[in-house]
Amino acid sequence: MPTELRGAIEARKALRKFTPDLSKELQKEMAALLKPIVTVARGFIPATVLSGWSKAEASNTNYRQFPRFDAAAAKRGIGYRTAPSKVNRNGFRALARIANVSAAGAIYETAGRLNPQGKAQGPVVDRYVNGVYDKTTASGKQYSNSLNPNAGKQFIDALNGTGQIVDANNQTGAGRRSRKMKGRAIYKAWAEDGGKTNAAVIKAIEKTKIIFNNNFKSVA
Amino acid sequence: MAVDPQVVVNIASEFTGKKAFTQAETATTKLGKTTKNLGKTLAKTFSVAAVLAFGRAVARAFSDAQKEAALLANSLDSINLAFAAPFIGQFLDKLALATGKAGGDLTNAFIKLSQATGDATTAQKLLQTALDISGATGKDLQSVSVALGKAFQGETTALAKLGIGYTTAELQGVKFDELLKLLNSRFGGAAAKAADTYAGKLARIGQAADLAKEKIGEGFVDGLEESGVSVEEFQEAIINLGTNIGRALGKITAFAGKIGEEFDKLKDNPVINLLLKISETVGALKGLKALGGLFNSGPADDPAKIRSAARLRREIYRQEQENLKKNLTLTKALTKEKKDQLALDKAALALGKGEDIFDLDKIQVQAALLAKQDEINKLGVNATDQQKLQLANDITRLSIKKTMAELEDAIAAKDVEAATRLAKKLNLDLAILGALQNQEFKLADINKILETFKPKKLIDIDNLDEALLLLAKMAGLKININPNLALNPNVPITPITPITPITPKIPATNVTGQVATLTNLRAATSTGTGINFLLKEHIDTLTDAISNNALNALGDEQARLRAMGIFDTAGIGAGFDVAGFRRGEERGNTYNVNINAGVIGNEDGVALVVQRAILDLERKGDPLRYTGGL
Repeated sequence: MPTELRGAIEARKALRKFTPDLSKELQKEMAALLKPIVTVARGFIPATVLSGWSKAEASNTNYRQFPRFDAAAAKRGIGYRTAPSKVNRNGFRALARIANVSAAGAIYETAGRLNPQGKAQGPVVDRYVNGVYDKTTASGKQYSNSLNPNAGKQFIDALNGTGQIVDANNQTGAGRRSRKMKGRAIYKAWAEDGGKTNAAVIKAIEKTKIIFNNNFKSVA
Repeated sequence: MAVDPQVVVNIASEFTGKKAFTQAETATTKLGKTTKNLGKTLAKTFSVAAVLAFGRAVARAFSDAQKEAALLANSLDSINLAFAAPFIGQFLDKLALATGKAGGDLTNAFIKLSQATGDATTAQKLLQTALDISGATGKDLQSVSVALGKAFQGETTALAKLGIGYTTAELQGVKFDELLKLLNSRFGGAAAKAADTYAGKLARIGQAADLAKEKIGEGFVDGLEESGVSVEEFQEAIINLGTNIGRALGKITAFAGKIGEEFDKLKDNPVINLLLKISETVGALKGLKALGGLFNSGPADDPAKIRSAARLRREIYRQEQENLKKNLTLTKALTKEKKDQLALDKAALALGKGEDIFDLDKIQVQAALLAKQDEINKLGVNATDQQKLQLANDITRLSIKKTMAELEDAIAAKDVEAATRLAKKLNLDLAILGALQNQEFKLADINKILETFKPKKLIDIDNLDEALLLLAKMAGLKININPNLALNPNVPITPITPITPITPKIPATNVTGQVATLTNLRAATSTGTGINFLLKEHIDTLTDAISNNALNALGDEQARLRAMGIFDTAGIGAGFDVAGFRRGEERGNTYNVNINAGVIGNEDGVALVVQRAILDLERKGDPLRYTGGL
């Protein structure tokens, strides 16, 4: 769960408007803090996971294929942002982020987070085709669409063989923990960091705010 | 590249609001309004509900009255007059009956005024004035009270904005006591006249009914408590009643088409309406009976009560005096602070205006132009009007920049006086600049502006005599050795004769001629050659020799030698015998001079040695004089 700050977005705007140098300095400082986490997270991406996953995608298809795993692209996809994000559906904006943006990298990061044993196949349902009722397996995003009923489990087992899912949510106290802070690369790196970077980033923002306020007071 | 929200670590997030929350809030408000409208419709439609509504109204009136009383007590407590709350409450009730204003409005107005004045008596007086102004202008009492409270604290803008016929400047020019007199003379009695009208009388009756409602509510709650029925039990009964009504409504709604028409007929039935009105009037009359106790609270000649009231009045007076003192000190401090702040704000405003006009690049360009147009700076006859205008414009811009910088410093240093002065200057410059940009200034005005920017004249050839006279005058006034001069100011002051420069023995013209000759010779040689360098050294030496410093030093030397009688005159007193002086100095000392001739050989040998030495010197140079000689 990200730490909530108050007035930080406004402070960033004010910094950019009145003291662009200080704003850039803050971004540099935040980047310097986030870079080691990114480096560590990239280190958790294996060279290969499953040999078939790294094969070239078929050409001339009219649907989006399952993305090919390319270790270099997955590593490149891990990065950081120091610009404030858009408002998410819960009304929050993040001041800094570490993201895993490549499709294959995101799959490696999160596969098995929701269903550790893989998605089950859909139930057998009746299907009416050409005036005849037939039996078929229900399909959809919530089901495994493979003919192999163990496909999901085998895939996740293979991923677990290269790296286990780690929960980076270190919150204590009452309430349900979200599963959304679990993963194999960036979340693992974040968990290993143990909140030090988080505290350092917030401290950097607060420090800059204080410097800005002091400068502004001295001018006024 | 888009960031999948599922695979991101957010650091330091901030909640900035959510659209869904706003939508939910709006929806709730709409639902509330709809429910309220539904309630109103049902209350109008069903007479049973109307009776219940009356019951609720009296309870609410009582509750509101209790809230107002608590609010008043709290407000008075903040100025240490909490003990006077019941009496002020009675005063406000009577005032409500007399004017027809709602008790809640009066209480709120009184609270505002008492907070502003810190004095219940003054607040009562101001409340009367506020009622008059409100009655005369039609403005609501709350706005008038707030404006009067602010006026009491020295801010008359709000009062002027009420549109009472006085401007802010007029109101600021008078003290508050005088202002109150003015307002009373203009609006006095307006509230009484308003209350005496038909509408006013109706309002007064309505107010009596409201008070009655409060009293009915009070009686209702008291009665409930006395009956032994707990509030919880009564609540349960009401809820059950609501459930039954709800069921009935559900059944009725099923036949709404037909039954609605029947209810409309019942609603229009004059007999039913009359019955309802009678029931409300009876309730109000019961309340009025309870209200009677307010005015007949006991015999007026009861000595104990009189003493108690006197004590209370003394206590109120003492507390009010204390509050007055506190307010006075506070007001003084606030006034000073506001004045300073106002001055600084004005200065900052002027600075802001200046920043809009100031353009660094432009000024730099104009400054470069200024340097190039040096001859125009003197505003000679050849300068065209356009050039003069442009020049004046540029100089004014530069002046604005300078003043802005100074003003920034003054604001930063919180130097109010300097900031005010500089702000005035900046405003003046800005006005000039504005006029220049519009080209409305006449040439004479431009000349005047340029004159103000011309540098002050220093001592030069033109005013040298005048300056010397002035200096002499100053010296004469300060170092006056002639007492008559000091006593008689009409005696003209004789200027001090300047010291005659010492004429050097060697005429400078000769040396100047030498320098000229050498310079001509040097001009004929090539640069970088030895002769060129030697000639330069000679020229420099001679030039230094005829410099003022050298001539003065020479004159000093000659003067000293002349005084010693060893130059060109006999000197002062007996002549100075240098040789005798030296001998006298060394008298008694013995000096032995030993000359070591060494071994004397033949002349040829000596000549050979000398010859070799000369040859070595020519071949190898003098190693003692030149490092690394050839």
